[in-house]
Amino acid sequence: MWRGLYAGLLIALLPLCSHAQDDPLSLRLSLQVQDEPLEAVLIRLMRQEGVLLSFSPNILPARRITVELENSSLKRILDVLLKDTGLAYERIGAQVVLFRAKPEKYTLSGYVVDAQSGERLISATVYDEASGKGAVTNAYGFFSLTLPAGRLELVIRYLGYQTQRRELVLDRARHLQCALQPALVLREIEVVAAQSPALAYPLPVDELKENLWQQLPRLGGERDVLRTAYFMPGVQTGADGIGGLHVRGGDRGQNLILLDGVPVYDVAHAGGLISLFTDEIVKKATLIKGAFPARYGGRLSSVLDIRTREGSLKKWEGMAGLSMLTSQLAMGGPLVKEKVSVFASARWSHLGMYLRPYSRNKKREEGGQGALDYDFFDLHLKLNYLISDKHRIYLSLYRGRDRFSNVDEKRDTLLAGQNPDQRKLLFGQNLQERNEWGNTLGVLRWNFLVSPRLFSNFSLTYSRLDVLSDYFRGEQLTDLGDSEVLDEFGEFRTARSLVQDFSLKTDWDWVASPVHHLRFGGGATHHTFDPGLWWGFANNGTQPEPWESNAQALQAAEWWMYAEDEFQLGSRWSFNLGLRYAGWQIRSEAFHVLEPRVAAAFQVANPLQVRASLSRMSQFVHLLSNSEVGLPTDLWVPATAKTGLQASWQTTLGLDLKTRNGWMGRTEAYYKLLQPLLALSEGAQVRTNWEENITRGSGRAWGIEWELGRRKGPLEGWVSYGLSFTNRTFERVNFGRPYPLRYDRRHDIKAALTYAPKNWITFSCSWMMNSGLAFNLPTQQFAVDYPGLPDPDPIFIFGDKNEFRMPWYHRLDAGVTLRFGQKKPLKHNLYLGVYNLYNRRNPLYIQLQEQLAVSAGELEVRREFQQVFLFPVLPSLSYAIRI
Amino acid sequence: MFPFRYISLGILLLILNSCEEPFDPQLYEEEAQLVVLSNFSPNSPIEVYVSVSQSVVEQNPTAYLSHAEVDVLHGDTLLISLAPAAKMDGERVVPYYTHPSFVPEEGRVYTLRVRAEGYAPVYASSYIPQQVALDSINLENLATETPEASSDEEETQIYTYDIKLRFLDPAGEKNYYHLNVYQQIKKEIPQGDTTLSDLLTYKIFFSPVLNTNHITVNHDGGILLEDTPFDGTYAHLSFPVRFVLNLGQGEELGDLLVEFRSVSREYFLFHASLSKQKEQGENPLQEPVLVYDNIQNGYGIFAGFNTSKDSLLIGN
Repeated sequence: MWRGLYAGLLIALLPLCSHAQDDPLSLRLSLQVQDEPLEAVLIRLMRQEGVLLSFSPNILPARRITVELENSSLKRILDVLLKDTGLAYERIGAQVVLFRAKPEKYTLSGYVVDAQSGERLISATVYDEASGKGAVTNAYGFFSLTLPAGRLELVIRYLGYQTQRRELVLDRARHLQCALQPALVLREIEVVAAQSPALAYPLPVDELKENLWQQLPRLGGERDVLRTAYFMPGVQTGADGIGGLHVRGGDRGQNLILLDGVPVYDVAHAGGLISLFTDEIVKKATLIKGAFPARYGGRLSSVLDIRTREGSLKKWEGMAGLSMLTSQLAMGGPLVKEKVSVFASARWSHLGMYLRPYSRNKKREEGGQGALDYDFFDLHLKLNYLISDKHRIYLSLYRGRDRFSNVDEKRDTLLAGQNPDQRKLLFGQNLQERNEWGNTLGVLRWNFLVSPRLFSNFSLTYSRLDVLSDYFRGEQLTDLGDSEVLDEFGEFRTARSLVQDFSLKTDWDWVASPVHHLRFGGGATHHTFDPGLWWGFANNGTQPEPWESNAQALQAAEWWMYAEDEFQLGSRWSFNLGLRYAGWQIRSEAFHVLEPRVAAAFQVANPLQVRASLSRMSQFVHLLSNSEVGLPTDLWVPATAKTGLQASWQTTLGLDLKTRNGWMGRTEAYYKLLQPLLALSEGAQVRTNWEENITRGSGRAWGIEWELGRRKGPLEGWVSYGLSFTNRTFERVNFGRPYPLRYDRRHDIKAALTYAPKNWITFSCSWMMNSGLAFNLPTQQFAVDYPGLPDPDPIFIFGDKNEFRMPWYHRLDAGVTLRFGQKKPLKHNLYLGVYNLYNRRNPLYIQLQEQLAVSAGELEVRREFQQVFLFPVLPSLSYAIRI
Repeated sequence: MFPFRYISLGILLLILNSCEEPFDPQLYEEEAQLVVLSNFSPNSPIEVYVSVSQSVVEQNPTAYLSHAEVDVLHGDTLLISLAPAAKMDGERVVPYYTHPSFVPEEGRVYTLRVRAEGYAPVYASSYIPQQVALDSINLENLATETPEASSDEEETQIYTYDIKLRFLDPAGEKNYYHLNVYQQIKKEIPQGDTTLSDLLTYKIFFSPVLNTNHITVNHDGGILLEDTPFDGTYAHLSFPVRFVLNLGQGEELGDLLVEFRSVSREYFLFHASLSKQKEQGENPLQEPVLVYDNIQNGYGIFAGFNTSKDSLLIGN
């Protein structure tokens, strides 16, 4: 208490103390002052009324007093005079000593919301310039900031919104709702480093919902958060997005992709060209490539956390959009104003509308019949019920489905042999394919603000991926002379698979102080895997021989707990230390894993910080695939006693630079050891007993990434370069020898530029160039050609696995976004662009094709290499109208 | 919507018309190399076929070499130089290399060296594993089914059964096996007023659904086995068989012949990987299956095996 007292300038008025008594605070006085400094008023009290006051003038604020108090106690008078000054007093003997009160700490908590819709904003910063402390809102827009009592100068910021400044006196625990106005220029998807203003932040993430990225050119006019992720350094995919997400040497099945906290097992439409995350529903998308916080687990390579919009609590809004690939409608608004909101969106493709007539004509031109058809849809519904400031309930539902079919019937007439024995043959081919797959997701969530510093969240979630695939191929060679069937072949297949999860989980945020944040939680999931597969085959007129795989439905239980402590030591060091425990039970086997997570940052100088991290990750569900691009028929299977789990260690070391004038730089080196890893044994087909066809091995990935960009002003840009290496070693792949991963792209350059001279127009272009995919091509052949053996088939020599490299992938896209009527009720948004501007033919794959031909009267097979690519130069167009 | 559709349609037509073009594989071309094929056992003189590989786009018949130098070594010691010989395969003369007095021995590692002008010399090593005899073999769950046929000539009978075998896997080493099953068929062939009888032998082909890490259904019949699940102990194995007998064409069941080979690692890997490559089909999006070879500087296989044989009669 005495620490606040300045000893030097003690004023004591002893001879004038005519009113000294036992309790000077009960002394009754009158005071009338008009606009006088506080110090003068106190001196007047001492001189005129004989009060014994002791204080240092240095602690007095520059406040002017106007007061009129009649016959009031000294206590009452001092309370009035010292109100909101941060000063306190205490009687010591006959004296009353004034001192700087040891500041009480109070918690300022609340939500940051969109002023127009009332939707909560994730990762907004609430920063007190007076104390230099700040907080970042969590996934539900909540923040908590415990500070000494006194006047706060708050700055509330969120990308794409106008910065808000507020002053308030923190004299008690307070709840604050900060409503930010959207900036005039529409915000779009982007990626930047998110940082707490007060902390050197040890967990770098890529935010995928920002201006720069949302303005970038789009394939078919379709804006897509997953395609934005492909633009991040360290993220690889195949040509034009076919092949899925591969992060820092990871596999497609090693990404934890969450939609409102629910794991999604297949995020691709059209083989990966488009994701199921309609841009209109995405509120926030975050990609984590390393330094994984303990609250995330279950996959080895990355976390893509997507949060969806809730719908406005204040007014109804709607949107209708049309791109070359899809149409969509979205609508949201208050069911009960300021209490209950709803948001619904629907998107459906119109690819089939083009594909059916086109493919029918093309097949007819080639002498066949049939048609190709493909379409998909996405439906999303979110309800948000604000029960009170402390309680909130969300219900989020998603359903999407893809349907693909192909019917192809061909008949060719061939002449075989020489005259006069020449025969006329009819070669008939019949192909019928039907594939359907889709995700169903649901989450019921309850947010409960236990106290201003303690935020809790309870979720009940459901996730399901089901796949159905039918296939029939038949071939028949008939002699047209006598109608004799010379050769006949038929193959049919039905495959279906299902993975389904029910989860219950809870997550808690405790904000101990602005520099100390504790998160903890746990949960459990019941998994069902039903990789039921059938296969059938018939040949040369024999009875169809049914083959049935012995895959059985399996149930598994998964549970986890975690604790994560984020804190600052001194003014330069910050840490995020976490530990995650996960368990898995299947049949009678159980697995237990402990995953330490450590991340640290050191603020070298104001704009510059160094970061390092170490993460252990485990995975109990595995994606089995023997395709190069990822097909819906790939199989999700559980870890069993026979297969074991997958695990990885990743360490990173990075440097961040962020200047006030908008320049941002980042470099990060990483080393990842994936061990054990699982894969299908070479040549194994997923239709057979998957558990007996898995091989264990390991992988390594290492590299370094550089990024530099500017995010301020009308001209924004960004460039990145990644150098990476990744390989795999499996006992039963490539005969146990190490080989490069298909997505081992050594060099990876990506650049983006946007220019918005006016609010209504933005020009954009992007360019990427990376090393070709590792792959195999047959080069030589021979035959096991012994006398006595039937006609030998050729054996193709592929070399070592992934020994060759495809040509470099590069592509330039450009576009312009026009916005009209932004201040009117009807807002129009038109996008015009060109994808692959200089018509680079980037191969999706290269294949050896065989064609039957007649040469000198004899049937022969001709072979040639074909490069298959998806998109030449492609104009893109989309239009959206909003109310 | 309507005009928009046609703008997009035009663009999609452009895409779909342009999505395939010939690719010049010059970057990836490799020189032709020697191909050496030889499976050897202690039951007969070693035979080595030497030819030359060709580009995958070519369709030429196998180019055998009849003037190569083919030596068999044990370590660095030359055991024998094989002499050129030839066999008739229809109208085709197939050269190979052999020596009537050189029969390889069980357990001994042989190195093959082949030299031919214009090609790098190639080397390969293998051995003949010890013979493993079947302890027992029998059939279980025999069932027959007679599907409806549209005419007497098309009448068939489907036999399904499990073939069960038991043998002792030698301990302390990695062992590989090749089980071949042959079904003999007696066929009555009417010739005027006479009926001739013929005895035909068919190889049994198993379903690829049986494939696991340790079992591979061989593309050319039979099953390849790896001893990991029963290493050093008695193996009890059972495999389902399905066989269609053409009753309408006068077929009758004969003996079931079983050949049980203990094979070298090279033999197993070559045949197992080859079977998987053939089984994979033509999906260009599937990861290719690489075929094992143990020929340094060339392609092919030089692999030893050992054999024991048995026979059964269905129904007995």
